[in-house]
Amino acid sequence: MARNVMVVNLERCIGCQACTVACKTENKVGIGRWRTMVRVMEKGRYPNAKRYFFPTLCNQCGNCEKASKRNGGAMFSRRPDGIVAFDQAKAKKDADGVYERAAVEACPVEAISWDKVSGLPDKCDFCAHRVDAGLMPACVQTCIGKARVFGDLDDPNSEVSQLLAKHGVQTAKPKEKCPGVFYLGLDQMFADNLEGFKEITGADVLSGKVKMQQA
Amino acid sequence: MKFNRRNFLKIGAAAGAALAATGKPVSAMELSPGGKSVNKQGVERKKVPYTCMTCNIEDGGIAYVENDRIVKLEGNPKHPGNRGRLCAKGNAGLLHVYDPERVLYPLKRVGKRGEGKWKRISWEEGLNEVAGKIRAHLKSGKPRKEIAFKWGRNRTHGFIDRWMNALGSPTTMNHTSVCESSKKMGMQPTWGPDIETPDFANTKYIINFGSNILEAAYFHNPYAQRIMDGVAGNKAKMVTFDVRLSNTAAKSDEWHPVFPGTDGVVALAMANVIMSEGLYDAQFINDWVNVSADELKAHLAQYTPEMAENYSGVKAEDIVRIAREFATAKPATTYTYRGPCKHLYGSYNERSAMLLPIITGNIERKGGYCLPRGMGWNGVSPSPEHPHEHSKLHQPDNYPLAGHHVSHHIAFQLLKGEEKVAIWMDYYDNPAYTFPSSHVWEKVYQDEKIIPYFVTFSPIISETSQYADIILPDVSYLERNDPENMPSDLLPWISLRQPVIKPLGESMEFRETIRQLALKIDPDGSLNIKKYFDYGSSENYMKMHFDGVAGLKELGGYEWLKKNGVYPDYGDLSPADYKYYKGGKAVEPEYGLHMKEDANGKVTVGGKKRAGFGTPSGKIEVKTDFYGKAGFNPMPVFKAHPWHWSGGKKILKYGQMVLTTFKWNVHTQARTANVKLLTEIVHKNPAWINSKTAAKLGIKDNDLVRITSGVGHMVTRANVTESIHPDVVAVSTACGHTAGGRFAQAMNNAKADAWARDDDPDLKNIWWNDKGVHPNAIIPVCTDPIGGSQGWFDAVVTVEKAKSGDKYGDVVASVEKAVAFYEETLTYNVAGKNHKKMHPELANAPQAEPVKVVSRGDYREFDPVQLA
Repeated sequence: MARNVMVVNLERCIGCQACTVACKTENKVGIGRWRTMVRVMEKGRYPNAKRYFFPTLCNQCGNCEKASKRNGGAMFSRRPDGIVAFDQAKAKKDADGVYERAAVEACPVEAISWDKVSGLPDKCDFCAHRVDAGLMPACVQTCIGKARVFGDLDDPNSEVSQLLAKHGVQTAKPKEKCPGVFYLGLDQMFADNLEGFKEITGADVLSGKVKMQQA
Repeated sequence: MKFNRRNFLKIGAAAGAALAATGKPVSAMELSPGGKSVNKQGVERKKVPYTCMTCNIEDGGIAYVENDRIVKLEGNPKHPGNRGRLCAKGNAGLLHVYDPERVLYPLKRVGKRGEGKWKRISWEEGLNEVAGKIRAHLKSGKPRKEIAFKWGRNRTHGFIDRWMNALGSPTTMNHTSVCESSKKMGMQPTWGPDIETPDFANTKYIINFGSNILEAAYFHNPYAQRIMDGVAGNKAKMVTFDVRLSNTAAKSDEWHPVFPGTDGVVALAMANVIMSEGLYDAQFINDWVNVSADELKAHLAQYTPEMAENYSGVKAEDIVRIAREFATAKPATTYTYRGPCKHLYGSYNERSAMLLPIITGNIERKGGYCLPRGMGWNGVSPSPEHPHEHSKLHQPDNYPLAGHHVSHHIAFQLLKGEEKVAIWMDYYDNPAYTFPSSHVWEKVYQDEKIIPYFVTFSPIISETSQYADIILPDVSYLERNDPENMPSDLLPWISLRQPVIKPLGESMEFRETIRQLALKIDPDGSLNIKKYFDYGSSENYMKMHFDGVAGLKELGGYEWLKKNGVYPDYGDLSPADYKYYKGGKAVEPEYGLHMKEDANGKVTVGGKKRAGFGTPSGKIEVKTDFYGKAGFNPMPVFKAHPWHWSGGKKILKYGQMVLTTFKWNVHTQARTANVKLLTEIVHKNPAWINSKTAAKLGIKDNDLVRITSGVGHMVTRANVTESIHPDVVAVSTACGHTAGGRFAQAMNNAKADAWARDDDPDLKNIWWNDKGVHPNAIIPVCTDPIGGSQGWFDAVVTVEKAKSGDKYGDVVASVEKAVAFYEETLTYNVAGKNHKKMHPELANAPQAEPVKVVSRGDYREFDPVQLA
């Protein structure tokens, strides 16, 4: 059985946002919300200032599936290949009349957003429709730095398996789950910057509104 | 979606690290790198290859179409430049087609010029009016040069010249002086071509002087791929000199903040170190450089690392160390696009940076600094001759080496009445936003005495086209035809831009509009115009370009190109290493083009005549007669900017800084502003100010600040940061539109203008309300007297806390003061009083001979060898 995962090699990410935009056109994601984006962080004092790029997306942890089921919903479900897929047609309203609120709030990284036009939840599913057609997810397909790699972790010869085998990696939250996204180079970034690391939203930093950690 | 700090720090331990290594080579990803797209139901979509045009790099794309609507754009895996990938702008390109503010039928002005009142007219009426005006002018016997055409992005490959030449007017005006013209004029006399193609993927060392190549063009997407292959894959070292921590500087191993305009002296000092320490490639210099190693040593001795430190602020020991590393880490390359050239004397800076790969013999080596490769297509016959009249708007006096013209002077020349205009045509251009002292262009466009009739082909009502009298709307880049090539890889290619859907509404491709105009101006052929436009259709025009190209012809010519998008077919793209494979072998580029045997070669090396370089001697001309004869220093030199330096001392006063502008990775200069998916990422442009400088001036982050130049002032917010030189304030030019659409101008839920549409539900979800403040009005003209380029990064400004009454977004600029700067910059040209003052070393040089400029039109036609 396949287990599809993404490996993000931060050394190769240039923060170009090609993935961010490709995801939006592929999945018709409107403005004001994202399935994936590259966050940008800065640290250090002039002239030793550094900038880091960190692509974020749903980690396929499955918290949403459980929360949805507890509320009698069936919108989210883990596929045999590990992708936490969803079917908006199966979305149920919670007690307060909001679609799948419990599932959305169960997400530890706020990766699920509401489509402002339909009012339905939406998240990254590794472009499951593309994967089923033998195509890479849209963000991987367009990745200029070749930072995003996608493939089958059950195949020891796949590029993702090879990368994970050769390098130390880290995962985003939650670590206790069976995650679908691995980061290469995250530890170096944190080794440099863990103390006083200041998080900034991508939109803020990209539009020039970047704050430094005043050490 | 946001991470708070606590969440961010709770990153788990490695889960996959326990996997055992198999020792087998990395296999290709099982999934396809592209060339196909499916919808959510898994149904495969119709695909049409095209060539991108969201910037000037011409990457290959495939458009996926459902029900005649473009639903997705992806890179074309067959295109060697971008190898199947698109940047953010390219991915968002379909929104240029479905821009709710796009003009889809001809409009005629009904109110005052610039008032924004339009009436819809038919194409018949619009074409008759414009053709009638042009025909009347041609029949009147008035000078034909009063018919003027200004473009900002010309990917027609000669079609605009065909049009203007057929009309008999020399007044074709480009945009290149606000772009890279001084880079071109630094390079062309030195080695022939106007650009280099560094082999980043195979290099070991990159010195980047002021280029933000990981964010912006020439050649953002292709080169970013190769730099990552070089840096991450080949473990190359990258060192960046830039006034600002760009994303490129951020991904470099070292960032050295330099004082603006001093990269040239850093490069000269490094060259001095390499020469004096004997780290140069003696054989290469002996064979291929037109000055000897001893002459170079003697010339460079004046540029000590200490002198470079004084100007640049980069420590002398770092300059020495980097010079040694560069010279010994073969192969190595530099990159400059386009920082050092955008200063007064930018052409000298470019030539200085070029010295490093030259003296270390890294030219045309694998992993080095290579000549651009290119392929061509056939011209279309018959072709009209260039007119014999001369227009100073096309080429001003006293800029003999400005082979790519001095377009940013045109508004000032018009104000002074240097030339008269009867009809002004505006194409893919927005000087009232993108040019220095942009308010002067506004004034010129508003004045019906200066521009009596203004026709635009723009489908966007921009800061410039808002002043048009009539709009004959062009299509988007996904609905038009062009032949294309660019040296974005060492494997040369040609590609086709073709309509992937039928043009929306009544919009008409520019080539077709011009054809119809020409036939109306000259219906019986008596004006000698008709015969140049008798090609039937744009598609036929492309057929004439491509059908006869050797190699392509055998495959099926134009029809084959329509199906494949790009020629040649280099094989299958491997997702493992992103190389092309044919018959199991990777396709590798050719190196050492100058060494190829050539019976007509001017240089003999190893007993054989070689192809050499495109210079009069066939060698690399570090010493160039083109400069010498025109009255400039024939050697690469450094000239400290008199606005910043006097006698080697910095003369900036309290609160004074140098203003620099920059591009974001998601925007071009002006055209992407109404693309919602890009503008939601970047929509405002606060002024970057160094934290120590800000503290000194009492400026806190997000404070309102007033930035005052000699032209005027702007009020914006401060971004207090560690990522910028303390003497520099940086404001991006991407934001601050006063026209162009609701996304560009942050107008949520606003009523559509009469010509616009409400067909995008996101028009009610515009979540940002800050559209930024545009800096160009307050930036004075400052022209490189050699290459004619605008010195964008030279303006001295005073930064202070906003005064009472100042409002965010205020921009106040004086036309008179802007004109005074124009007059000042003329004093630096070869005939001006400051020319001799800036060149004391040439006091005893023979009097400059008059230089005749024979270049014209598009830069591709410029050949420095033709300079007398």
